[in-house]
Amino acid sequence: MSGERTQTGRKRPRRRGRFLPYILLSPLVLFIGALALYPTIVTTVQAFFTVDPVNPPTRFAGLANFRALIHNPFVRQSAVNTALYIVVGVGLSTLFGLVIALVLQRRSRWRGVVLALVVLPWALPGVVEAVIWGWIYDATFGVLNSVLKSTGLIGSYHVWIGIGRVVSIVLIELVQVWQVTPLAALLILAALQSIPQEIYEAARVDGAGSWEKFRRITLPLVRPGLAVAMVESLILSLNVFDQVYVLNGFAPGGASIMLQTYQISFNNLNFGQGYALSLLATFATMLLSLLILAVVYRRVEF
Amino acid sequence: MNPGGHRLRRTVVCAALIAGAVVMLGPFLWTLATAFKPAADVFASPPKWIPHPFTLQGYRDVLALPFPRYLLNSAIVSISIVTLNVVFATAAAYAFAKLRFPGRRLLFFVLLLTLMVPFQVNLIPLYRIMIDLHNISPLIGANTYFGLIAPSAAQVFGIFLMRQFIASIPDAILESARLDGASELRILRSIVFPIAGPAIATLAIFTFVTAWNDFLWPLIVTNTDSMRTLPVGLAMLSRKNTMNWSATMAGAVITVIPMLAVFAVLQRRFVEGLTAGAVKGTG
Repeated sequence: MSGERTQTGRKRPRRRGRFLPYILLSPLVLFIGALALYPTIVTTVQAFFTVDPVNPPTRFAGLANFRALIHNPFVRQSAVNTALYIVVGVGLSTLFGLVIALVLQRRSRWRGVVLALVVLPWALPGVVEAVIWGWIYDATFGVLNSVLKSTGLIGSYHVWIGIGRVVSIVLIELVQVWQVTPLAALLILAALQSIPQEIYEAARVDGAGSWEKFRRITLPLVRPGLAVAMVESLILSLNVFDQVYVLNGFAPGGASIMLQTYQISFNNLNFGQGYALSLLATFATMLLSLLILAVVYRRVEF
Repeated sequence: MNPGGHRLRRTVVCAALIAGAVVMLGPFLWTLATAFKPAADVFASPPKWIPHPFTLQGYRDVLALPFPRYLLNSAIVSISIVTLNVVFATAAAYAFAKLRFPGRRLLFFVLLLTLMVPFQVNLIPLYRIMIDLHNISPLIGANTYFGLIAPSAAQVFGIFLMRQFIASIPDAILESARLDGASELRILRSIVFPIAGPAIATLAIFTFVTAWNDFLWPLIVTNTDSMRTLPVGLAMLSRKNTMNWSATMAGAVITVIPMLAVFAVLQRRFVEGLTAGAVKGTG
C-alpha cells in the first residue's frame, strides 16, 4: 500500500478520481463479500452448531455434528463410494488425457478438427451427458447391451446401474471421465509442448528408441502438467453430483459425498451436519490435492 | 528410420484419432438420431442409427412441456451472468492493475482467499440467504432470476484473468490519454475494453459454459417450472420419464444446441477458456 496519493510527473487526480478505484471495485466487493466470504464464514462457524429450521434455536454443539456424520452408515458408505469415484476418475482421465495429448502433439492437418472434437464433451452440460449415457446403459434398449451381446461378451442383457455397487460407480464415473478428459488432455498437452525438441534430438542421436524417449524424457518432464490435471480431476470427482443424480438418484449404492450433503441439508433440513460435511469434503480436497502435488509434481526448468 | 515403420506409426495415430473421435462424438450422434425416431423405433434391437421414418414427435412432446420456458430462463440467467462478470471483473482488474489506492494489496489478498474456497462450501448459507431475501420481497431471493444470477455475478477468477491482461497494456498509452484530459472511466471504456477484447472473450466463454451447464445451484434455488433452467428441467424429465426416450433426447438436443452454436463460432476461445479455467478449478 503506497501512501502517496499522486504519482510524480502526473497531474493531481481530480477529487472524483481518488474514489474511482473504490467505485470500480464496489460491485465486486459487495457480491463477493455477501455471497462468497460471508457464506464461508457461516459454514465454518455453524458446522459446530445445531442448525435446524424445524427445531430452533441454533445452539452450540461442539463436535456433535462431526460425530453424528462419522457414525452415520450412509455417510460412511458415500465416503467409500466417493473414494472409488476418485480412483476411477483421476486414474482414467489422466491416462486418457496423456494418450490424447501424445497423439495431439504431432502436427497434422487434422489437429484443429480433432482438438475441437476432443474439447466438446467438456463444454456440454453434465446433465445432458448423464442422460445420453443413461440411454446407452439402458437395461432393455441400451447400445451397451446390444454391442456386448452381439460381440458375444455377455449372454443376456444386464441391468447396469443400481445393481452392483462397483459396476454402477465405474459406469457413472466414466461419464464424468468423458467430460474431464479434455481438460486433462489440454493441460498435459501444454506441458508436452514446453519440452524443448533439442532434448529429443539429442536422445535420438544417442540412439534412444521411442519407448526409451517416452520413459526417460517425456514422462519425467510432463509431471507438472500431469499433477495439475490430476488435481483438477480430483476436485471434480470428489464433488461429483450431476451424473450421480441423473443416473442413480439418491440410491445409497452409488451416492457420493456431495449427494449425501444435498440429502442431509435440503431433504432432511439438518443444516448443521450439512455444514460439517461440506467442510470435511473441502479439507479432504485440500489434503488430497497437496498429496498429489507432493508425489507427482516436480519443478521442471529448461 | 525406415519408411515402413513410419507408415505403420501414421496408421496407428490415424486409427487412434478416429477411435477417439467416435468415442467423443458417437454418443451425440446417437442422441441426435434418437430424438428424431418414432417411439417404437427407439426400442428397436439391434439399434437403428438412422431414424426412419423421421419424426418430430419427440420435439412436439418436449415443447408441450415447459421446455421453451426453461430455454428462456437459461438464456436470461447465462447472459446476465456473463455480462455482469465481464463488467465487474474488467473494472476491478483495471483498478488493481493500473490504479494506486490505499488498501489495494489487502483487498487483493482477501479476494485471493475466496478463490480457494470451493462453491460447495457456500451452498447451504447461500440457500438460506436466498430464503431470507425471498421473505423480504418475493422479487429477490429463492426461486427468482436474482437468486439464480447473484451468486455467480462476480467471480474472483475473472479478475485474475483480466488483471494479467490489463497489466500488459503499456502505461504510456494510458498516460497520454490522461494528458489529453480523458477521465479514468473514459480510458476504461475507450482503451482498456477494446484492447482487452481477447481476454474478455475468454472470460465470457468460460463463464458462459459454467453458467449454462450449472445444475446444482439452480436445482436448489428453484422450485417451480417457471424458474427452472434447462439442465434442471432435463434432469427432472429424464428421472420421471423413463419410457419416452425420444422426448428426453429431444430435450437433451435443445439443451445443447445453443452451446454447440457458440462452440462452433468460438471454438478456439473454448480451448483457451478451458486452460484458463483450470487455474480456478471448475465444479
